[in-house]
Amino acid sequence: MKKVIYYINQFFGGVGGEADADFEPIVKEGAVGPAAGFKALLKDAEITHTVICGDNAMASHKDDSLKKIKELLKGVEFDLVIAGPAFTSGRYGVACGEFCKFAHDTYGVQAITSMNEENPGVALFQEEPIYIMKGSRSAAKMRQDCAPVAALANKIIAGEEILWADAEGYFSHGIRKEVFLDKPAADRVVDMLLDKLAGRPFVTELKIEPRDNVIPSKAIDDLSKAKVAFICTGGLVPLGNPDKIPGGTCSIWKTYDISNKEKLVKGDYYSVHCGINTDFVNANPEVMFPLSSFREFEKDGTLGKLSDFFYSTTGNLATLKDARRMGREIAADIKAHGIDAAVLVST
Amino acid sequence: MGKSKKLRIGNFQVKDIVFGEKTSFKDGVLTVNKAEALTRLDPKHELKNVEIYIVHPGDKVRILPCKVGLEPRFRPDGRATFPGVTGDLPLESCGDGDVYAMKGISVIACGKYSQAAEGMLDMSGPGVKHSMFAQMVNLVVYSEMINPTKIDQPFRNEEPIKMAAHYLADYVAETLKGMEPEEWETYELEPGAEEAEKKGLPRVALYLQIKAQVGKDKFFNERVFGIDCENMLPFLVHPNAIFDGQITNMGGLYGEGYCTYSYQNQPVVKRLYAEHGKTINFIGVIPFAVDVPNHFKQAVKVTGGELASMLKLDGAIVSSVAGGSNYDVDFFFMCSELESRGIKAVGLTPEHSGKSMLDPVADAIVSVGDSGTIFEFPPMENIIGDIKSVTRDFYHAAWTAHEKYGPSLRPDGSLIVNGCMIVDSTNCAGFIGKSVKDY
Repeated sequence: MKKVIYYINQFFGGVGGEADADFEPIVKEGAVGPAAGFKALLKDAEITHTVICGDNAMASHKDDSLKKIKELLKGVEFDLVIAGPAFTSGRYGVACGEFCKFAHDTYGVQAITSMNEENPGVALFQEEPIYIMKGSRSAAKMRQDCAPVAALANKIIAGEEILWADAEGYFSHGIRKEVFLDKPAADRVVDMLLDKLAGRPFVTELKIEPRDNVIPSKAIDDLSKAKVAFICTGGLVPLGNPDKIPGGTCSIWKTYDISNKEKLVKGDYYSVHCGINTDFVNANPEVMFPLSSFREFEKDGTLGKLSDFFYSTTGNLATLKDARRMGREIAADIKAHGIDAAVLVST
Repeated sequence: MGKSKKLRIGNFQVKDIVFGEKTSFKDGVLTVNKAEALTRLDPKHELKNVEIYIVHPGDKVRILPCKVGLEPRFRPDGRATFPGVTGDLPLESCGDGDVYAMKGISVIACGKYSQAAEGMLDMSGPGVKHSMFAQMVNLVVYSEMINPTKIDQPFRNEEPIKMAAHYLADYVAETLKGMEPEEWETYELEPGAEEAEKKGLPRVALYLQIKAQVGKDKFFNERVFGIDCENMLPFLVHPNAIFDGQITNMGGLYGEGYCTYSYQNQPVVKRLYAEHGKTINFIGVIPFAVDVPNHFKQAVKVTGGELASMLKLDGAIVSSVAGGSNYDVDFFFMCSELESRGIKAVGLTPEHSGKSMLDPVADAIVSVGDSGTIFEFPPMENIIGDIKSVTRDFYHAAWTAHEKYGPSLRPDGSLIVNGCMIVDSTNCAGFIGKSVKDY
């Protein structure tokens, strides 16, 4: 029999309403509140303890609350954590996410909660290694929301493979993985076309959602006083590739000093990119990074100063997640170095 | 030639391939006289260390770098199997008459040095389920150029190595001369078209992306009647000609792309034929070339759209040849161009750690795999080709260094690579059931 810890807030824990939202965490033996109703849904598992914590206590004093829960759970053994459901309740949703993440990180157990898509907890914790099941708007649907949570819990307890987000009903972690389906792709594509032609509903296998609509920052007023950086995703590295920047699936970015250089020459720099024809860059690295042209613009006063180093990574096969993180990191680094503008070349 | 274009493919199921004294085909077994075959593979004497191997599903063998893959064919009427490639001029028509096919096998060219768009075939281990080639008996022809050039570069001309596989396929298939096929597949557009017109069924075409971004001198781009497709604008091809060798792939055998085998057995064309006259009116196949310059991309987009309007299409499948930004641009361009003309488009494409250009107009896409998936492969007992090529030469799917995974080739011979290392693993032509899901 596997052991489950259940997390609920002060309201569902029967402590009180909004006035008691500061309620400090306690751990009760057995299943309390929604956990009691949940018991019957679990196969080969029992809810041994219920954690009850005020929503404000978790929101305002997260570290203290989690520390206290950790103390209270000392010596308690468990295999799985379930929290909520939190519906559209924002603070409760965030608290469920915090507790699930804490349990996963601290005890290495799987954690499941449930929220409505409007709950801010979804966006905050969706990409964490916990499961947030798609839930309803209000507690009137408690029973309905508990069913998928229990179904996933039972699969985890039974050691069954957890399928993709739509199949199980959780919010996607933003990860895409290969799967094998019964029907070959050629049949799937013709069937989808027949559906589309007939006006029947169909489900695309790759949803195109442009998410990053970047608003360009204001133009530089006076380029002659600006400090400019150079960024490339073409895997341009110094000889020997000291940071082991790979030709594909790269998750790091590095800077390389060019403060004493007037131009890049063959042999000193080359491209490790595995998705382009690197012949031209390797024969003349200035094809990718025209340093000598930057120096000319520096000399004639067109631009104030070129940054002492350039930024480099490899775009080939980088995941969107890594690419966005690297973009944020590079932007922060550029700001920290007082750089006003950057030239980002495509490869 | 009559008004109707009728192609009959006479199939011979090949259960096994063995080496023997006389090249022959009997009771499902293809016997190959290796010494004789070797005399046929290098008419211009440009190759050295030529060797032929037979590999079976389950064999502990790893083949790399793979360069081309095709199905052996024979034409009883004496016409070339790949007009303009294996046959001399004048060209005759393509996609009609009788052609014999050896089913269940392929011929693969393999070399010592890798270049762009080349990959690996494991006949056993975790890669098998990702590759249709791992599930067939294959004849592998290994060769090296006597005078290799540019071996340190991502692209080079290796025409003789690639042609050796074509000549070997022709050589083994010739043994079918005078034999009666076990079964026939017949393809003819006209009867179905008549039905379809009577019923007023939607007019549908397959847009097939082909590679044109590598210079003509490299013998790499797709060839149409043997002509490099560089600067070719979209054109209409009879579906039968797709099966019959009008288009050949010379641009490597790896996870993405269509190989010649996938043209010869194009599963989307087969399914469209099956629907022809019943649910759709299958008009034809429109190859559209991908190159880098924006000017060319725009011209391809508009020309592809014009063809669709002139052909009065109601729907189209847009099949992309690979993942990655260059192909993505043209894939989404074509989907959106067709939709803007009121033609319902459905995409067929691999992902490449997702997509790098996003046009939500493409609201119907079938995903065939993610070439960015990380795979680990254990060491393999036997290697055909050169395992050192993994970190020595250019592969899309392998690294000489990696901040997280280290070099792709480990000292014990095991590998850590991206999915597109495995030949046909992202299955662009749509053979297998692979897809990608949100987790």
